[in-house]
Amino acid sequence: MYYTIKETVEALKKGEVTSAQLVKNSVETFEADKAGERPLNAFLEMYEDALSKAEAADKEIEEARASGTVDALYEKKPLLGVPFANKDNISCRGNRLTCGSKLLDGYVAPYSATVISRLENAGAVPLGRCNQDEFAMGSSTEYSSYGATRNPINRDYVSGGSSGGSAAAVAANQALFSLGTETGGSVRLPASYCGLYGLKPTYGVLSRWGVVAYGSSLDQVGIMGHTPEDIALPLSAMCGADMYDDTSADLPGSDSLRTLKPYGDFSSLKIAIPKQFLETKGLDPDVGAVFDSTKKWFEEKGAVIEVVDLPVLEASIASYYVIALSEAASNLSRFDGIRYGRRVDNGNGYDELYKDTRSEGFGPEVKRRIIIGNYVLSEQFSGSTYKKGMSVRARIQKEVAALYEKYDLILCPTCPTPAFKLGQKVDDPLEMYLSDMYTVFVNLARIPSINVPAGRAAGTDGMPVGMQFAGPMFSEAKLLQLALAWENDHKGCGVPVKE
Amino acid sequence: MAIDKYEIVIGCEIHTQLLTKTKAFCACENRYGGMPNTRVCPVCLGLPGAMPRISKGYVELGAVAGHALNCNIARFTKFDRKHYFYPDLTKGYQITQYDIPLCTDGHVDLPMHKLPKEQQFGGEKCRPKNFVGDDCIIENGKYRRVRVERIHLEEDVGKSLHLQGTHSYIDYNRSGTPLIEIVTKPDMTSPEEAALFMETVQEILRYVKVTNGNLEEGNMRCDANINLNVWEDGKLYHTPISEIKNLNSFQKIKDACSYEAQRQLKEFQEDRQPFNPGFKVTMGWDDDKKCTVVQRTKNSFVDYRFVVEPDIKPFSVSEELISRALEKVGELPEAKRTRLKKEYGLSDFDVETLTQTRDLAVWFEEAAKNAKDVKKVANWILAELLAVLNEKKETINDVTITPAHITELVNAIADKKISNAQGKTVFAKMLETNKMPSVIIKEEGMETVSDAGAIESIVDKVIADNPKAVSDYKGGKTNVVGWLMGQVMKASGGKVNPKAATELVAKKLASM
Ligand SMILES: [Zn+2]
Repeated sequence: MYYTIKETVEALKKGEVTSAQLVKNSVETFEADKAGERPLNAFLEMYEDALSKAEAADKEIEEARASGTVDALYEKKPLLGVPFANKDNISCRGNRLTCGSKLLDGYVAPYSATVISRLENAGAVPLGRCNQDEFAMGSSTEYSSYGATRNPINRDYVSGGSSGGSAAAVAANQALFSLGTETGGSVRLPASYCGLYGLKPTYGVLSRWGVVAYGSSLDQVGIMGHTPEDIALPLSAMCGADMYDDTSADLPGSDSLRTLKPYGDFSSLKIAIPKQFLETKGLDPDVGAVFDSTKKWFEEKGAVIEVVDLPVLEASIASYYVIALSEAASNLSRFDGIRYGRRVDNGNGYDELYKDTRSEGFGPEVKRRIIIGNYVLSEQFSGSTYKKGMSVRARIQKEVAALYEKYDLILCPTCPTPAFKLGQKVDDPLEMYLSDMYTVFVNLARIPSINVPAGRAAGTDGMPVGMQFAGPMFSEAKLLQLALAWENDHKGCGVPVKE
Repeated sequence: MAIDKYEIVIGCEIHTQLLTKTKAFCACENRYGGMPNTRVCPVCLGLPGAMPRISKGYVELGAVAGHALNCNIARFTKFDRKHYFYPDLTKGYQITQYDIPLCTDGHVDLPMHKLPKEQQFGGEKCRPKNFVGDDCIIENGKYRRVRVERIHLEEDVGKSLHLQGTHSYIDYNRSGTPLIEIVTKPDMTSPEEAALFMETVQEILRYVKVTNGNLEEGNMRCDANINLNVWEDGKLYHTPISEIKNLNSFQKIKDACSYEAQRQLKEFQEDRQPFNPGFKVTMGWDDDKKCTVVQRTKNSFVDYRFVVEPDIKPFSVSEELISRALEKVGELPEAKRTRLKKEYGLSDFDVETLTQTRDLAVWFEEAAKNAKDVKKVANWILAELLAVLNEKKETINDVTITPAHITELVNAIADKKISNAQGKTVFAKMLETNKMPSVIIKEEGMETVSDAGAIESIVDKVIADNPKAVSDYKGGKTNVVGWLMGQVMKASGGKVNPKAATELVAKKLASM
């Protein structure tokens, strides 16, 4: 496996490697790991049709090479033959999809998500589906029905959640880049724990068609990779409004993503750090130290950093959970065992069928969230909690947008702590929910944010620490340019291990 | 204790399927029947990851219905989700509109002459509770106004078929079909009025082409909310509200409401169940046993847990759409009837028939436009054209002749170019060939000879050929005029204008 998409594409063009070899290599690594003592459990399954798709790509490359048009071919299909890891809640036609849940055992997606078909149109090869917290609910990928995913940097640690499998697959060099999804930070958090770049785009920039919904108004597909360029390229292939998703939107300036340039003029860059994030009690000192060095880097480059007061952020976790869980309870209603997935039927009528199917199919964390969501929505409260959550969200959106009239960037850690050990927080849901405290405002405000690997935490065997650059809506290109400038100066902070 | 009197209070919720090409939120064809589960896709099956998107024309048809029922149309609205578990519901929720319906505050005026005499006007019976003043009595009791609280957009669910024994089958072909739900205030005071309400709404919505309104195909169904105001020893009581679900014929509404009213009265006399505004009993109508059946009791409170539909952006309804919808509404049946009666002097019966459908009415008015005798136009359509259509089980939309055909035919008769009897021949030919009456008359050589010179030469020839008749006339036998006329008609092949010819024959004889 090569380290970056750019390297891989060069090798494919020259015929130094074939897409089929890349796929076989990944499958072997996956099988070997599975047979090992402490498997990563990054992938749940390699797609059966991955090899044939890779072979089709190889044929195209070979023919183009023979006729001397391989560069022109890659102009059209910039990801031709490049394998990528998918998350288990993004439909890939003809392949199984379980969302990390027993409830969807045996379900085969009859259609592809728009993000998948757009990547395939660009020539990329879907390699397999990655483990995740069940229905994307969790911050450590320990709530999967198919076992936890270990962190490749140190297998005692969690990989972050809910897209932990997608992060581990890239960090362990089992795939070049991966797709994840997030509702409150589930791409940035595992990217941070695994030392990767992880982008959560502006809400709507990547179509949600075919992506199993958790909290629809917050959900967003995200990308993880070793370098900002490895995110920019897939992003440019996937972005843009989709007629199948009413909430999707075009990404202005997306043409600059294909040839990403590092950000240059820092002197006009104004950065805001919300006071509320500095005063957090749970902020780990190692994370704080990396935060300081990140600030210093920006200042040395000539940027202006100011601490701002954004009191509405204090309500973001509460607003987030009210909205996310309300929508989750609603979205998960369709999993009733009637049309697909697992059905537990004792022949005692519908009510029993639903009860048994859902009781046995859903794990404890999902049940907890469904119950809270339905409680919030129930008419006994005349939906007032839900309405309150919605109005707080509107305020967050407004105040964050207002902040961006004066500043270019919000800078803060991605998570108050580095990765924790497996099993450490699994019985403490509240503690787990707080992992999201720096990330959820981004989803509530619908803005883009990228996790950059920024350092290591001595206190946790040197696990990676990530910082996030959050920009105003549709500022993806600028964020990736900034991340590239950071990468050029830091080289992944020495986190990922090159083979 | 004695019951002094009681009143029936009825409010209706009518579900109507809209005539869009595709289902509400996907590209599946919106059509009735077919092999089960052949018109389905990830969206209307509620597959994981599928997202709804509003179909073209859906909102506009809703606005047309809103205008037709005199509602205000919202300028900004959204969709919501209503949750419950049932196998015919694919997502565990139904997409609907909760707190911002597309249309609000409308009304429907019921023509009172269609009700039994004793219910027609006057008296307390006609006055709904909580209704301000006598606004409900329109035009001196000619109409009764039923207020429409709201009309919202909603998707239909699938259809379950329960076989005796262990299996249930579900057809999702209907799942996701676009509906509107019309919710009235409790303004109806008798089962007949409730049935008339549905009938009137059906007529209006068919008229404006919002729906086929086909009750057998489930295009329209009604839930009736009913309870009683009972005065006992001068004190007023309200009986608990029952909601009778899925009434899909006018007769069933009448039967179910009548039965339920009597049942509630009996229940009141027996155990006086208290009225509780938040709760209602859900009932079904058993058409075989002719009685209402309890489906859900008032103790099982249903909590729909409404949430804003996050997959569809809240949206503005443009002024352009609203005025386009208004244009599509045009003149409604009742207004049209009144106008046609006044403008053309037609009878109630004629007008009633001609306005059965908007297309027929438009066809009639088109034909009447340049006609010299509108009454005759109506007669030709009612007596001849509709008879042919009925026989062939066709509608005015299947007719191949144009309104101008009828205009020309009627004018030809009025101008005495052809006789009434000849008109029937022309009519038959016209239907057969689609040729214009003038063409048929010419081709068949039917036109009456009105040219004085031509008539005179025929008359002269007949008189010259029949000297005996002339002498008989001179001898006083005036009835030979008739006989000679017959000869003139014969000689002309029936084409001369009989009036002109008779006059001429009489004149010639007299001058001889
Ligand atoms: Zn469909």
